[in-house]
Amino acid sequence: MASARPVTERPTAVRRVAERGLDVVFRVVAYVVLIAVALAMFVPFVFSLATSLKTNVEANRLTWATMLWPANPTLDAYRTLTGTPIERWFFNSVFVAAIWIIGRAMIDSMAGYSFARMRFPGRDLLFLAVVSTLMVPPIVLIIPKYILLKNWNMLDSYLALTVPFLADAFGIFLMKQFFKSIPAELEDAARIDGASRYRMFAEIVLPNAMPAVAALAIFSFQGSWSAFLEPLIYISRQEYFTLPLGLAYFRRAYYTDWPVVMAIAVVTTAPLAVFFIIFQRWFVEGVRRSGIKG
Amino acid sequence: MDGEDKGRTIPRRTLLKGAALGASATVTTSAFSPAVSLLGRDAAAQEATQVRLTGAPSSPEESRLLEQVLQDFEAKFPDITVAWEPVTQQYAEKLQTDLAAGTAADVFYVDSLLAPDLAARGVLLPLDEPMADAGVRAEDFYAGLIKAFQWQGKTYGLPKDWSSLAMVYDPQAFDGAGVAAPPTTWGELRSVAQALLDATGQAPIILPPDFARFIVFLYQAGGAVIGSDGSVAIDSPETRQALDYYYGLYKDGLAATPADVGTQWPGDAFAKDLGVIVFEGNWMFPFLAASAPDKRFLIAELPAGPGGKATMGFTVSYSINTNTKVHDSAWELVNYLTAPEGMAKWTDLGLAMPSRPALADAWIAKYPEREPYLAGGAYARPWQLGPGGQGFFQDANAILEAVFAGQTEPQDAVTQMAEKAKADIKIT
Amino acid sequence: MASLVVRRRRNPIAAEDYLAGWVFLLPALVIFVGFIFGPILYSFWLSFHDWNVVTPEMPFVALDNYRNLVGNDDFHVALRNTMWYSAGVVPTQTAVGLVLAVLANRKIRGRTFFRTAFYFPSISSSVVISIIFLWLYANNGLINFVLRTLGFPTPRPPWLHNPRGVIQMALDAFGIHDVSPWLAGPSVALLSIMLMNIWTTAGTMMVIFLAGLQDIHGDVYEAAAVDGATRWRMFRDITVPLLRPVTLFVVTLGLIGTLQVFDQIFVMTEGGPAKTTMTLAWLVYVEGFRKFSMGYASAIAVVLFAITLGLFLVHRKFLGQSEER
Repeated sequence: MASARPVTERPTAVRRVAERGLDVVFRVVAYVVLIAVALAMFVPFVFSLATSLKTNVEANRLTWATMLWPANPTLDAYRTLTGTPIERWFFNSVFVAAIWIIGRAMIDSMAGYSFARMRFPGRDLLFLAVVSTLMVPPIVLIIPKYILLKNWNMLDSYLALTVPFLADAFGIFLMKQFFKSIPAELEDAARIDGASRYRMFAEIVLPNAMPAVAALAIFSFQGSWSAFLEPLIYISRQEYFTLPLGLAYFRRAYYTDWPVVMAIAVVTTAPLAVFFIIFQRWFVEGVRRSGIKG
Repeated sequence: MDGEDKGRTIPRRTLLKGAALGASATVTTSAFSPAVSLLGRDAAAQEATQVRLTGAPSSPEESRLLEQVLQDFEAKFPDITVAWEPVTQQYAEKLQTDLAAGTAADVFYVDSLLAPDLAARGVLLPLDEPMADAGVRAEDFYAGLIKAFQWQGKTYGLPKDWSSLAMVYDPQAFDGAGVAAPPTTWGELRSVAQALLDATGQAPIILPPDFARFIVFLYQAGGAVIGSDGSVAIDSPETRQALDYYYGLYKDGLAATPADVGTQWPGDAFAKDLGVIVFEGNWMFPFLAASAPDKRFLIAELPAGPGGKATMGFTVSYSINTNTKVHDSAWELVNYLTAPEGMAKWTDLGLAMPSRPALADAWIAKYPEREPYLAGGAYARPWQLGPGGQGFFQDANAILEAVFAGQTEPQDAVTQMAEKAKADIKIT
Repeated sequence: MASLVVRRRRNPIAAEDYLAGWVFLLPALVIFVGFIFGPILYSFWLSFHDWNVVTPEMPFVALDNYRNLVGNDDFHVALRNTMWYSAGVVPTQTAVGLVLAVLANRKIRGRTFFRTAFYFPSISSSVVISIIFLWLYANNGLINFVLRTLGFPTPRPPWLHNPRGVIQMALDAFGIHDVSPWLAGPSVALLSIMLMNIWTTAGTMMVIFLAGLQDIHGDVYEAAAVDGATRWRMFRDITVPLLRPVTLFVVTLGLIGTLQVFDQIFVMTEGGPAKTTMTLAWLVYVEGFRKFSMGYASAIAVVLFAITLGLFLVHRKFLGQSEER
């Protein structure tokens, strides 16, 4: 039990009233702070959206009135975008995200299941090794990975954007925690009926793991959509850019044209935002389910 | 307790169907999407000899114009096809990694700053023989330009075009401050700037803490980065004088950095009426035409310093990969693009100037107001700092930024630059 | 692990488990060995060699790369900047996350809304956020606009171009000039990126702390309240100790994240101004992919890895003690 130090005096009536007053004050303060912080979180995004709807001239001359919404909204910046490869980049991001999700859903859940349910020598040590890779900064690995992909001729292709990422330590950890948290009765029952591990996994375990798989899918989508460092190193041909690479390129090419740069930022963020608002419960749930106490 | 509860679990058949659907959807979309190749480079069917050309066009217009020129080339040489592979980001890095991987193109752009490194590493094909056979002489090009691509007596590339620096200024602002003529010396530059500052209250010169601009002033003061004996010579009274003058403009409020006025480079500031005098090259004009088409501007040669006139010759060559399998066709391409006919077509866009003095008159006829740029050809220095020059350039920029932020004294900065130069530039 | 019903057919099942265990693990294992374990070892190996990518020769140079590191100015600068960055961001984002979580944990309306709002920046692409803040921090951007309208001075050069150390600037006010670079503090530019980082990640930390807070049963607080403990006392003596494992997690996450910061540097400052936003991760990139000294870059990467591991072990020792309840 927690070590709450016992207070020797009994609370007086005055004290109780004071406490209640403090309570109200605290509540008000809490609301104010939370609202202020929430605003601070939103303002940059709103500002970027507003900028994307302004003309270049208006964007550069800020006033209090037009700070968060233009006087005459225009889609000029977006029209400029249509002349760029952005549609291709968008497709690339979607395609790569799909591969990540499908790949990780299968590979991570299989691995997680293996760690959770099956006994084999070296299992725990291997799991520890897998999880400890979370500590390795990606920059440490890009040089060898670059050389590897170069030797196998996989640079400048979808392979470089997908294959190295089809399994990830966090996903495996997530699935293992989940599998451990569900009782094994169904599997035991299937065992009695003579089912093999493979059948059990396909027919019973995976279908019941949908909540965890959903959380995994969400994290994978977010990870692939925002990935930057490794695509930057592995891809140099513009037709294989994903949206973040395209955005970074635009920062150099259109650096004077803030509305256009903001427009592509909006295009990159919008799908994620929509996705997040719909599934935000799962995002947070996924964090919770990842078993932080572990 | 046992058996499937159809409400909760998904029957296996549905799962498999779902997976199959997903997979086929992915495959179909990739099949129909624009020329997607899962494995990277498409293998092109070719009957004629194919020459691969790569480079870093500064704009989509440049790339398109080059394609037109390439089509003319293919018409003239029917058994050669050219595969043009523009690179839009980190060109120098991509070129070097491709060279390492053995997948680099047959012909490629080489910036004059990088040329000594590549020549020293032996990845560029010496061109002296084919030049002699085709009657192409080094003297046909501006001396300062072709020298940038010569290393230890051999020529490793032919300059395809070039740009210099000149002073671009706003004549209306000049009139408003009562300035009759553009400044021609350092002293005049200061007094003109002072007059403009007094008239408008806004710093007239836009000066970036960029070594690629400071080096002009260094040369104008009579200094040098690498001395005639080949050793690092940047630590000299001339350099100190140049830095004192350069930073002095900023310190005395006569100049502002692009960041100070909220822009990314001086041309941008000029277009937005945030600066009156900038020192930029030909690349500025397409930009001006697009972002401020009505803005009036005039061009003058850079003011001369105590050591005389100087300007930079920014140039890029067409060079051939030592490991190319199509020597002859690659040379034909390089020759065509740098011959008077091909070069004239290319430089007519006005993005850059012809690197052949013979084409100067025709170019001036088309762009008479740009005469100060071309005049600089007589005294332009190559933009080159020797092998390892690129590293030194980055370090020098960092030092200049510290000076402009008031963190480092100009005297100390020169000493630091000399140290970095000795460390970075590998004199052989 | 679920206990199997003991039956006479145990052996074949155990054998099947053994095999199936590895089969299920195989795809993940292949990818891990190929793209993580392998590269880690290769990084070590490469750090003892010299390789410039262009030529195939790869001479063995033993500890030369590491020796060069120790004497190299750029490395010291990068180390310094990285330390300032972590030292500034990790405690702040942890504290902010905790405070926000405590505030949001009460029965207030719109809890879902707040959670969504706070968490959103951290799911956005780091490149998008960097671009947006590039615009915010521009000389004619939103931040300067607000400051100027309210009558505050704005830094010259503007934020991301200003290499002056913030501690040095504060000391200047007291007449202490020219302190050693190690004490001058992060530059204004680096500080700008740090603030952006805190803005991005405070929400994630809040969500994690919230989950941890919710795991603490209300009865504990009630019992303490009965005994007359004040709110502050409860926070200090109940909440904080019970949150130790969560705090450990948050700090670990923070350390790992801040020590690797790269995307923002690439998009916003490229190591400048005057190398004051050059972090170790950025240095690895520059040395490896712009200067093509792959062996040297690998050595820096190995050092970065060692620092990450070291810091993790150290702070785990300090924070991870009270696992017992």
